[in-house]
Amino acid sequence: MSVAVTGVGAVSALGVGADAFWLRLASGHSGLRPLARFDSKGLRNELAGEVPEDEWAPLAREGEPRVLGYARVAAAEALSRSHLRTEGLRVALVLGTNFGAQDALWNEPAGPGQLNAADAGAIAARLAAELGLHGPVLTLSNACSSGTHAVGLAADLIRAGWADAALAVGADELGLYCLSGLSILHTITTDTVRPFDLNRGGTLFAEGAGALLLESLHSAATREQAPLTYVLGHAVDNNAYHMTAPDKGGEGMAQVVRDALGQAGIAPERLGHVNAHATGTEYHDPAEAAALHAVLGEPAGRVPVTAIKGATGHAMGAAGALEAVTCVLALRDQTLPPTLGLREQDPACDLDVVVGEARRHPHDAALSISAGLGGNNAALVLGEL
Amino acid sequence: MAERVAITGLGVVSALGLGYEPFAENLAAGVSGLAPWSGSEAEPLLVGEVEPYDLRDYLVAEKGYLDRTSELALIAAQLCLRHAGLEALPAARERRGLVVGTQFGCMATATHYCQRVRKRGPRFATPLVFSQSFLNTPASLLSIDYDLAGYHTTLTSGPESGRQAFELGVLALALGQADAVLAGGVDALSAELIAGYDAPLATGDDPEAYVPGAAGGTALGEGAALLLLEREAAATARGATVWAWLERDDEPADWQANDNGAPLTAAPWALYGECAGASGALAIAALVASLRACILPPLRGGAEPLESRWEPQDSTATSARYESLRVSVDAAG
Repeated sequence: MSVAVTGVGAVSALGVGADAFWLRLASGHSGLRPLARFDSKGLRNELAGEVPEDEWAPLAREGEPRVLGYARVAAAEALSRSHLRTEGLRVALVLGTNFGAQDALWNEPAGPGQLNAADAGAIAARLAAELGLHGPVLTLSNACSSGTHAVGLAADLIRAGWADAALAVGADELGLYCLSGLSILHTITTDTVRPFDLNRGGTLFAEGAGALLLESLHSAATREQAPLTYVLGHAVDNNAYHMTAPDKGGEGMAQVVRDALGQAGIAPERLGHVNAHATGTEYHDPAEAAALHAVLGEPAGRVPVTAIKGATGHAMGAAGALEAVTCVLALRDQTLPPTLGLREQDPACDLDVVVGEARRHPHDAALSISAGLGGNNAALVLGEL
Repeated sequence: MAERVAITGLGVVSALGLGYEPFAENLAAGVSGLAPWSGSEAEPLLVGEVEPYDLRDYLVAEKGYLDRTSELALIAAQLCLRHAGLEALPAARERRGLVVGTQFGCMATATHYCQRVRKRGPRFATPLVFSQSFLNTPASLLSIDYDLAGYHTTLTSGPESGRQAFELGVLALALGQADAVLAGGVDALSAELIAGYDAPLATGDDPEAYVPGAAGGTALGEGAALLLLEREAAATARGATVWAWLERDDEPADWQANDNGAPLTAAPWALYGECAGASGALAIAALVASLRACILPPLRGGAEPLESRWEPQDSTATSARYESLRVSVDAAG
């Protein structure tokens, strides 16, 4: 059973709001800049994808963790755009986050603040209370695939009849806890993010939130709200291989794509867009390309592939949700955003990557893939019924 | 209507012992696992601490540094498989699901990591320690050690995490996303958790004086409960022992484990402490043990504690509910 998408919201390095996000993404802007909030001394790179302070400051609330603020603004936007009145409805909230508010551990002495920082569930609880949602409230943490799985799980709750509608939110904030660790793991490049490039050297991290309002087909039809598109299928799995190293063969990613397409009930030939996870790391990108070839077969070389991390940076738990928003808006406008940073494509990543400028491309189904530390994989299929 | 979900193995780690059997036996006998915390320096805190263990007895692969939360999860998984009489989940690797609930994850390790890097600088960050500090570290370790390559989620929804893990396990089976699911919750006691707890904590050294929810404060605990869930047909086909049935259901059951003051209300955590994200998972394990033993675990009667609250009572109940989850056993029990 498919689920309707009737609203989206975004906070990212490209700005606040889904319109700003999409306009800047499609026109080839980069949100990667030298870190402003932190001293980058000791990190592999001073570049990151911080939410622009001039746009965020008017929306920030004193004492509120940034991750909660980003989630709040993106979720409120998705809800507002959907025009859904939540009174009397079971509206679930599913938050996906990699680190939650854990960066507060960096500064907090032992005490209640420390415990609150480690309790990611408190973010969703506060968000649900503020938005007046009366449905299941779940927080999941599947590393950098969290945002994609949040969307899939929200769809599951509706499919199962546990909720009439659901807000799926992926959110994370930059801080020295995550940046120092990801730097010492050498996932951060000393250059810039170059997805699928022969000379890629790693990724650059970012922050923000993406949100999608999902509802049952019955709910959308009853209130005559035209869906933006539909969640057709999703899947989540684990490489069961290594805590930090990717599965170089891409078997886990291939499986998750296969399962998502299977749930959607569509043939690979129907896909008109693949949003790749494409972190620009040495081992991930060819593994992802191999996974796409393994599952899609010959069409893998023809379906246009985009990789937005060259523009947004890798927004960790928010990445999958922001990329789902990208797929929704690409379907709406029949336009695929360009992949920044790619200069010389790696022959081991033999895909039709959209580069240079946005590409007009009629399509009615899209695939979005995410992966994360600990072997996490997730895939989402969006499109017309 | 979705097919029934069978609980075919229980791995329990708590202050009542390592394994489902000591957990069930102590629960039935009303034995408390609460005791003064080993880390107490001044006034003794009453907590439910897991007894010392030799981790090597439970690991399937050599490990370097592990956070205590990860240790408890790995022990619970091994105990679950032993209880089920299996060496691996009974499904193809890509059909083996895992849902782990945890409120605080590897907070102690994350805190230590941050303290070190803050003091010495990012160049002195330790990759191994960082990778062992995530909320999803316990789940990832379980997947690697037990080749769980299917449906996979860490839930970190506060104290609800363990209960929600079962809900998602049931959902994953109902939606055909997995054929066997290891589900449950885990959280560990630490100096960081105790220092950060923002409510009164139970003190003293008399576990029988402790009443959950009373003004004297909360007895924190630690532990893990991981249960093996399968569809009825699959469990039956392989001749598995079904310890109980699990479903998501808001309808009343014969008795319930919660704090709503209903006449037949139990608070099994009176014996092992409030275990954060493991609470709901341990509560479900307690329901299974109680139903199978035909007893009600320690009762709490709200404002007027029953005289017999430490005495388990005989029961003919075949179903019990913990919030949105119902556990039932066949009448023959």
